[in-house]
Amino acid sequence: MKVYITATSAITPQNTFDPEKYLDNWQSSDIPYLHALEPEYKNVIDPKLARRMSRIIKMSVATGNRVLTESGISQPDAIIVGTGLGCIKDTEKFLKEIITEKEGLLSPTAFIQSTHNTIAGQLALMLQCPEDNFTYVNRGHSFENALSDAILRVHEGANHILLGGADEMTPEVNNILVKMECGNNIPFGEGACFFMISGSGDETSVCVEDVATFGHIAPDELMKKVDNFLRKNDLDKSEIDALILGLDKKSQDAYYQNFISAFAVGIPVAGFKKVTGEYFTSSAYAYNLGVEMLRQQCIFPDTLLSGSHSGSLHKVLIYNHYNGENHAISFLSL
Amino acid sequence: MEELKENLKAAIIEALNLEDVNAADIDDNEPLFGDGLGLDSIDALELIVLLEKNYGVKIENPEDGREVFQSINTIAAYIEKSKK
Repeated sequence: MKVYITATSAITPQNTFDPEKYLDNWQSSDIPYLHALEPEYKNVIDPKLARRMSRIIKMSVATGNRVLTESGISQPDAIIVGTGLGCIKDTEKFLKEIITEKEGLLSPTAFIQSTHNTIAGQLALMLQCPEDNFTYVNRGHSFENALSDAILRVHEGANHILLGGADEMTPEVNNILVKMECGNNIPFGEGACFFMISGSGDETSVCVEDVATFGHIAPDELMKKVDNFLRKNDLDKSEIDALILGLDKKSQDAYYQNFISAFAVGIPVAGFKKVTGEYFTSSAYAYNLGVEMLRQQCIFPDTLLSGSHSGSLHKVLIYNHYNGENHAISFLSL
Repeated sequence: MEELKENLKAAIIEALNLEDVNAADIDDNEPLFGDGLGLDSIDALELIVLLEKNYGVKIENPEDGREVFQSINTIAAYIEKSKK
């Protein structure tokens, strides 16, 4: 079941929002997690609307708006968003207020804005879009499940789906996740990535050929899953031009080691978590990176972890796992 | 009364996160809802909470809200009246 990414936009801890400066001027973080590099929102969101928006909403609205503009689609047939923790900052604010006010007088805005589906809802309100509006909250599969739903909608006849993946990080959440050892030795991060998913595309559109998700497998079971995925897509390993993996550096992680070793020696490996850090929907950025790699026919040097690239890029595989529990493989082509 | 109005303006700007608005920009008689500051129903709820938290003043009858929240002058007068 193929669909096409006809437009995409991302806000991450690196320069990804401005297409002219994509992954330019690498940023370092002076806090324990990777903080998103946000644009001047006054230029992209009406300040009257922005005043109630938390950072995750602003990041999502800015990237969502950019995608709508780039695609020329003002009314999508559905808005589908994946998020692991939703509007966690407003949730924190509301919960803290319950304690400080001794469950008394509470400010309504944080409560209203704290639900996970505020992101998709806010976009629908801004667009006055009465079509399907869904939010998937499935830990490390939140974005992939939203993408799978978008693919199904297209195959049911929808023309254009506004799809996004977004999460925000706070010092409190970072502390909790670090204590729970959820980061797979990758610093936590945050960001929002949006896409226009369409049933057809032009020469600049990147095809999402397939996506597969599975959970709780042992590292040695992974290759059977990969082989099945490749067979299903009639793909030979030698046809893959590059891998985009959920890594931030060269790693001894058994899943990624096994995955890389299945492909030709020297195959270029890009680590998308070097850009995003770890969070539940970080894999949304892998698609944005894949689109830019295929469109620009390059592997951005700061993301390259191993191998080298020469010649053209046509077929790219994305593999990510969250904490060894949520695994996803996708196949992009141009 | 003037000090109360200035204090009220600052509290409203902070509570409603009115970016790019200064206390000096809000006229005492300017309508807060609709054409003036452009506040809406969620802001009305925030104002009810603000009055109770900051000034210990309750809007007992929801019908009074429309009158009370017309402008800075009407809110300040309501606070003064309630404290007597």
